[in-house]
Amino acid sequence: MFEFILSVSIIFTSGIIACLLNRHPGKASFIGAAGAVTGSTIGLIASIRIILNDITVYKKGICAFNIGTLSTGIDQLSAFFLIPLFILVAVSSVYGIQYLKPFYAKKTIGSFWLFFNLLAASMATLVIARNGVFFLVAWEIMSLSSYFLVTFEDEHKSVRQAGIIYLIANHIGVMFLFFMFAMMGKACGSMEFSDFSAASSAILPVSSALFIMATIGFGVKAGFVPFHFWLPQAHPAAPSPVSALMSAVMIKTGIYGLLRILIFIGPPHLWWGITLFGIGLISGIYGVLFALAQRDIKRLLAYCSVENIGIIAMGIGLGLIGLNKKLPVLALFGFAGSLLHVFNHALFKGLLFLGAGAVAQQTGTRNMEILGGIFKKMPATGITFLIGAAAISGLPPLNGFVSEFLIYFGSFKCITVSSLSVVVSSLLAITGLAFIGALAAACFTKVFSIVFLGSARSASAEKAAEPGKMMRAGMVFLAVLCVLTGISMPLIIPCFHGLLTEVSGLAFSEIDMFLSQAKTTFVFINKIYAVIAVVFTCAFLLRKKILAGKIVRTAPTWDCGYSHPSAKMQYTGSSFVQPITDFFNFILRAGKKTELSSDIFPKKISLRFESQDIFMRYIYEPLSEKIYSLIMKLRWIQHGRLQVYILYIVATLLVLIIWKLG
Amino acid sequence: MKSVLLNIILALIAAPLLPGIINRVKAVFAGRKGQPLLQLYYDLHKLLKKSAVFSSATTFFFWVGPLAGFAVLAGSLLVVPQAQGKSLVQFPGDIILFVYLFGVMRFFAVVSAMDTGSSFEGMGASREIQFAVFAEPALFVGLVTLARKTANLSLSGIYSSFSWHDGTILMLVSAAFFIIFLAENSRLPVDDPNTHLELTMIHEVMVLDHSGPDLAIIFYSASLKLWILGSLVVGAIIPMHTGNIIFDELIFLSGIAALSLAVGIVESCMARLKLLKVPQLLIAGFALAMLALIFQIM
Repeated sequence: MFEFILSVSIIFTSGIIACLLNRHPGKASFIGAAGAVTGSTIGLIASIRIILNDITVYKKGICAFNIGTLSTGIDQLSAFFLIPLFILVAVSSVYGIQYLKPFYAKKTIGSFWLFFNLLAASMATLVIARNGVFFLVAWEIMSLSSYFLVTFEDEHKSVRQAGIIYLIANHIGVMFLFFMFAMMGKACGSMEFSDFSAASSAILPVSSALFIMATIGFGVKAGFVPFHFWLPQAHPAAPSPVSALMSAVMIKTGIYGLLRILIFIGPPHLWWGITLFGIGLISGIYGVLFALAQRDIKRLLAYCSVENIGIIAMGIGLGLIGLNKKLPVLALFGFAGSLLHVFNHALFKGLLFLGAGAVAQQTGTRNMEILGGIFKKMPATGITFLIGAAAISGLPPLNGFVSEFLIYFGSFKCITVSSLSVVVSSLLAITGLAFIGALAAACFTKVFSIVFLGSARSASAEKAAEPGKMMRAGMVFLAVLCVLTGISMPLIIPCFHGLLTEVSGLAFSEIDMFLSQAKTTFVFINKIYAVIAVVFTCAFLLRKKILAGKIVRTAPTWDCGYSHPSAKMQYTGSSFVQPITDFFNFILRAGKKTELSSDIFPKKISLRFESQDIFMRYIYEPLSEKIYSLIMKLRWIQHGRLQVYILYIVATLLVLIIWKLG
Repeated sequence: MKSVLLNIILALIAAPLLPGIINRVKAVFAGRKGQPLLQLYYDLHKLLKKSAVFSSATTFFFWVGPLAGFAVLAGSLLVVPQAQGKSLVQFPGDIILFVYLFGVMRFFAVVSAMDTGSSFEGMGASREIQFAVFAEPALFVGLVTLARKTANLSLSGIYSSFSWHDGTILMLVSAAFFIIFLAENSRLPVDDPNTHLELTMIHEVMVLDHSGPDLAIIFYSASLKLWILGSLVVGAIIPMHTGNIIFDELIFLSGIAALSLAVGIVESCMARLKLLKVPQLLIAGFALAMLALIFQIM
């Protein structure tokens, strides 16, 4: 436990020191990042040790307030969420040192590191918090510090707007969490997590209400559809190391919270599982469809986070269905798949956001349609981005495949049972994942080929150059982890023993059976990978031998005889996905505006595509307008006249006195 | 074990024969004499002797793509059920890996096509990836049906335990698989391999810039893919195993040959669908597989 407190305090203190060094941006960056890396390394080693040795620690808070204590504790679930957290904090802070250099003159770098380290420390704290009030305090610090990071470039109007949307979304979510913890506290007579788990019989009558509030409250943070609306706003606005940290780790605190509460509230009802599964399926499909339609690379990645959170929720949903229907296979494969996906998504989404940040910084634009051909200029970024893109499309042998594989496998196993609800949800899981996977592949072949391949579509893509060493180091590290996780599953999966015991509450023997089954399957898969690798190497050497000594020429791309090709004639990202986006336009509802002049020789024609989030357009915007106009009706209270305000104060005092005396 | 190994070697050697059979059938239908049956072997031989020309826009993905695609196909050859419904490697869950390996191949094909920056290849890649969105779920539903029917989770486990009683379901699933087979192999009515207009092609247009050994490996992989996905269709249409290895081998091989014949007949009798109609065809495949599953559950 000591290591975690030490790690959090190092991260926190270095943030404060960095803030004090505001005048010296270079030093501030160094101190902030060094603290984050040191703290993370300590925490990471400790978390891995906890997982490997299957340890659980609980420490009652030393200082108690009248509303809560600072109790902390660490168990398998916390340690499991801390691992990607610490990895991403360390990687994105190293990346951040270099990323922030262009901002030295314009921005206060010290305060960036204050909020960055505060965000890291608060996330780690909420994961080890073992008291409702303490948890909420950490949660709130996390939300606020990330708000300040999102609005780092607040000179842009879009950034300020994104910040406000983010802040509002967070506070709607936290409102539900307040209610939820209050209800739990009332039922158990204490805010301590240890009392929550002890008083399960007291929670039972209100468990469904708690489930609903947890799903909404944590769902806002995690980005479940329809509460996902803040993600496509906040992620593009934030600086890239921050978007990486937020998308890879921060939204997962929502998943952590949900799982934690699910453990407390006891045996699941069937409809909980179905609800979560349904939310997951919808989020998955919705997220990836909207990701396809984006031109802004970071907004695309944000929508893709919605998709992946969907996959995670599908896994948890299947897990709950399995628990309810007494099908340990479904429960364990569902939970294991979704937990593993939490980890994997952190790696590849962090990687992709860092890569997108490097591209955006080097070219000065996030618009994919004017990029192109930058692979030759940024090979390291390109290769790591490709690994991330293949991983997020769930392709073997990378890590995205293994977690989806577990969910597939559990669903396939349960396709033979007689219960209709299980069969239908298994079938939906399999077809849904296949559909999402194929769309994700479309989405990421688009991103990679439009941004990195072909030739440059604009001057800004022409001038791209490889980012500095520290930025590259961060990306390479994550890419290596993506590959390693993908191929070392036979070693990793046995470590899930304690974690699954905690989450599912199933017997040891069942978990052992599951683990050995999963392990043998992964060994087989690795053997196939080995064969593929051998065949590839042979084919590669053979090709080299065949081509050796022959004159290999270079010529322009074949364009059917047209001899003056220009880079603008290349296929664009929008046209690449147009068959799919057209087909699914009944969901996307993209607007298409064309201006054609009727002259024989038209001087100007324009075509404009718009795809706006349908929930934003049809629900949230009308709703917020309603609320706004309602609030405007109360405007008359405010005149700006001091006398009237004093009158209000006197009146309030009078009412209070009368109320107290009477 | 030996017979399975033999099957793999047979697939690697005989796969380029399939396009030859298809072309011969088409020629007969058109009243032509047609290419030699072994034309693809000659083509491969010629291409392997040639040098290559690369577009100046390309990077190493351009030539890594075909190599990786071939390697992945070789991997899927290990788990695909051939004669007697047996495969070299089998483990529960290889169904999922099998489908995803085709995803990897597609990913590399698309990246390698997009590497040239050509509009035509962009169009082909865009269509290839769009059709997968409909074909992959259909393939999975078909496999789910079979997995539920036989209570088995490995491809060869499923394919070796069929019986004649599964008739209706097998018919529906193999019809669905046949549609997917045509689409994945870029055959009519989805894609016309003989068209002369780049604008309308899918697979052929994605490899416009490849030449020499790279093109050879692409052609070879395409025929191998025909064989591998064909085995899935044949195994479902002819669920009969005599137990005698030679008979079963002959049944399987004549099944593959008959499938090529059927492809040739389909290609001679119908025109390519409008590109906008292709998703409808694939959704029809999905519906067939779904129908089979509903029968199975009832």
